[in-house]
Amino acid sequence: MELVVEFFGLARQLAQTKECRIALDGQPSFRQILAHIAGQFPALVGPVILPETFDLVSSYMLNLDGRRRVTDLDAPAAEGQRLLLMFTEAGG
Amino acid sequence: MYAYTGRILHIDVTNRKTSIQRVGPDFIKKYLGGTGLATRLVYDNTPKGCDPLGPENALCFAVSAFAGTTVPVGTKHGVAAKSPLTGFIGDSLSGSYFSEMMRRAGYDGIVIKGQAPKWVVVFIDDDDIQFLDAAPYMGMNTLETQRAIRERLGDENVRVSAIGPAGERLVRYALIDNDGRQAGRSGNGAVMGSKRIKAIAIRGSHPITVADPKGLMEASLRLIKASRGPGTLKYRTLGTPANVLNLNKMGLLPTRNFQETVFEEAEKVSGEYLHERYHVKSVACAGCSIACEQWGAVKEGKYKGAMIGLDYEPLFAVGPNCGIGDMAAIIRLVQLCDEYGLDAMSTGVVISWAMECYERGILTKEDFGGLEPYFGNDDAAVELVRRIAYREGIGDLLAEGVKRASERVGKGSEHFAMHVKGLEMPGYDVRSLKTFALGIAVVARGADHNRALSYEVDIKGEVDRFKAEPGRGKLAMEKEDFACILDCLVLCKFLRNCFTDFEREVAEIYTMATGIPLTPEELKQVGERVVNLKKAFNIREGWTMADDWLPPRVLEDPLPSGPGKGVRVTPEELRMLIQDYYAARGWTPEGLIPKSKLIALGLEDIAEEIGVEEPVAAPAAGEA
Amino acid sequence: MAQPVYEHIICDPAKCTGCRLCEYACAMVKTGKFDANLSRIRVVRIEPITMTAIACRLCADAPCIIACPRNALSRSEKNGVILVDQDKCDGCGWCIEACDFGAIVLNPETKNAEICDLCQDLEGEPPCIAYCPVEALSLGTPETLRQKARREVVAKLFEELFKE
Ligand code: SF4
Ligand code: SF4
Repeated sequence: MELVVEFFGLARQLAQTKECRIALDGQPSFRQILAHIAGQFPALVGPVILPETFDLVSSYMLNLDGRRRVTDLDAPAAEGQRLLLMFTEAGG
Repeated sequence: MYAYTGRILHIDVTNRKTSIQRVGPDFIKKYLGGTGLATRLVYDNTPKGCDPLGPENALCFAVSAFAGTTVPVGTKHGVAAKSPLTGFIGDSLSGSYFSEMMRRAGYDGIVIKGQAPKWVVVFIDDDDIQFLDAAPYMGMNTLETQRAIRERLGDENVRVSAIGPAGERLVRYALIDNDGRQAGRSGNGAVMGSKRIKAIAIRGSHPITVADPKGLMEASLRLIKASRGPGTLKYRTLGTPANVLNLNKMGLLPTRNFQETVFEEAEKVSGEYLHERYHVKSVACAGCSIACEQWGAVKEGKYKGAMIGLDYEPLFAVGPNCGIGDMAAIIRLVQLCDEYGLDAMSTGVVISWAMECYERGILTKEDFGGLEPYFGNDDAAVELVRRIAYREGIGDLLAEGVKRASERVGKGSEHFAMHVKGLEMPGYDVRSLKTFALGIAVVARGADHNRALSYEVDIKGEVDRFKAEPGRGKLAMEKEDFACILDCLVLCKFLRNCFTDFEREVAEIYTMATGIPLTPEELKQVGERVVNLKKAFNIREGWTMADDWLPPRVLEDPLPSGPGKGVRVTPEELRMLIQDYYAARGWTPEGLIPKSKLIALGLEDIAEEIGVEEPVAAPAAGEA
Repeated sequence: MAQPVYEHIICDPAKCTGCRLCEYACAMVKTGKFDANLSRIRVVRIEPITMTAIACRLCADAPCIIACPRNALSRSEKNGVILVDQDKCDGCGWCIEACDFGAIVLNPETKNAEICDLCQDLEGEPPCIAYCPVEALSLGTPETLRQKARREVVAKLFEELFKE
């Protein structure tokens, strides 16, 4: 299946790209997708994605299609989704 | 007393009389400082029903318990008066060395009343209060005024709060600037202008002592370290402009006067873009360890030379909200607002309303004196900002704020006048933020994100932001009370995620600084007390339930596109949410405050004045 | 004979945010109160974005020592800081006039000149460095500064070379 991950803020600075298309076999979980991104953009490991567990640091969240926050990283992702890697902190 | 001075300075500029009011720890502890103490001073010093722009309105300053110390982002002060925009409480915050100097001059608060016969600069030099002729500074912009006064007084340590041309002309959303930081919202600059005060200069020579220097120094260092952690990462990397893309992706970015919530040119006005192309430096407020303010400079093109510290709220207001997708133009527009002394948020929302009026033919090219302010016309926006500041032509109408302007123009323009209680909306479309929609409808100052704060639970996904359901009243209340505690202390909101046990840690630091014992529970109650105090002020000034409401566009126009397509806040939803909130607060279904509630909060005198008798609850059916 | 070159507090103006926490910390450590006027490090903020912090630079041939009419100032042999002899100093302020950096404070209470002593009697980093939230302050000598500047400029050159 294919989906798109978009990067914002620090994640964009570190990955040096706005978005990337990901193709994975089967029904990967969000965590597996993060692991995949960590492999592709090692600069994210540490400041944004935690090594080994592939959790997100507390200042980052994964938003699904701009509609809701992914609260369970082990839930399966779906074809065609847009995953937004953005600061958790809302507001100014 | 430690940290505090126990003195409130009263100044009457009509007859140049000054006096000192002594206050004790028991009084101060109830309001702490900042907007809490400033609001209490307004309540006590304005007669009911006074004209916000008349001599009877009291312009009140109150300092933070931490001003001038190593406690990070605590060097701030609150400014409050009856707002000329809303007719209700108008409280704003600012962080600068003005706050430190207020304390060092020996004052916890300053109350200014009256109206000077001729324009003055009030110079507070410790106990010596002078009234200088303001003639040399009239017409100067905010920063020029401060510089010129420092030069004239020959001392860099003099700190100045000044108004610009907009405040001189009583633009209803004029601000007070100090060191390039602003007490921005709700028109306190107009209140200052109505008193014919061009600036307040202050110099203090007293050192600040604290009760437990060692403890406070250690706690400060811990907080400074924490403030460099994950809780502030966003503010340190891109500052608040990071919101642009996030909100755009979530369909929350107000675009073309809240007609849409996805802006096609968002990338070009984003924090990311600002950083790449325009960023020159991150700058801190006084005593701030975070340094969120992102200074951007324009190096080429027609706005070459423009430069400003850019925050999300002004950016959204004059940018996407006016259909402007050029970062250079935005930098220039915000700089102009700061220099003229205009709240850029209100200014942007007023101009976007005017643009929509123009596009719908409600106002014509003739009305605009030859301008064609279609959405995205940055030249027209620049000129409109100037006309507003000087009240020239159509600027005179727009200077009244979007509520009054739309009432005067009519022809359906009230439908898209984006304000609550007369204060223009902040940069979040509330149609798909149901908790925040409630928060913003009920908050005492009017449409305000900082006082409501409940956008957090919606955006961070702690609740389903598309859903209105019972329980949101309590959530909105908790966020509002929490924000209020920070505003009273004062600590910057951006420090809010740097604590593990907020009330306990902060109560401890407070006691280290002031020597006044304060339990976490007492600290928590300050938030609730001051929110009730503000509401009480509003009730005294004629608040009715109709004032807790949202603009028609939010209630009637479903979002045309984006993740929230088709969504709006229905009047039924809003009514339900409001009742849920009143109930959570222990208010009556009419939104009034029972006497018992006010007494429980230690506001006995106010209970007498505006408290209502508790409604006798009908016994539930089947009750034994 | 070559002049000894001493370490002193250096501020990187590119990093300094103008928060002035270093001043508050120094004043508290040295006087027990928060009074930025008594801080031995001062922040200069030329609005809106130019700012840096300045403390005693431990100049070679220190003009303040020469200027003092009462011979109250001398240089520590250990680390080069300017020592103030409390008994001799009468607060006349000649040293303040002589200092090109405005780094000397006159404390109205003690009627003494007060100068950054690098807080070497304290354990750990000097408080100004510890409280600076953005690591703008460090201890260094003119030579370490030069080395740092050279490294940075070369790094930048390479960055630009590989960008295109
Ligand atoms: S080293 Fe000590 S005396 Fe010198 S500036 Fe820093 S804190 Fe002040
Ligand atoms: S503490 Fe650091 S950033 Fe703040 S003013 Fe001092 S040197 Fe500059």
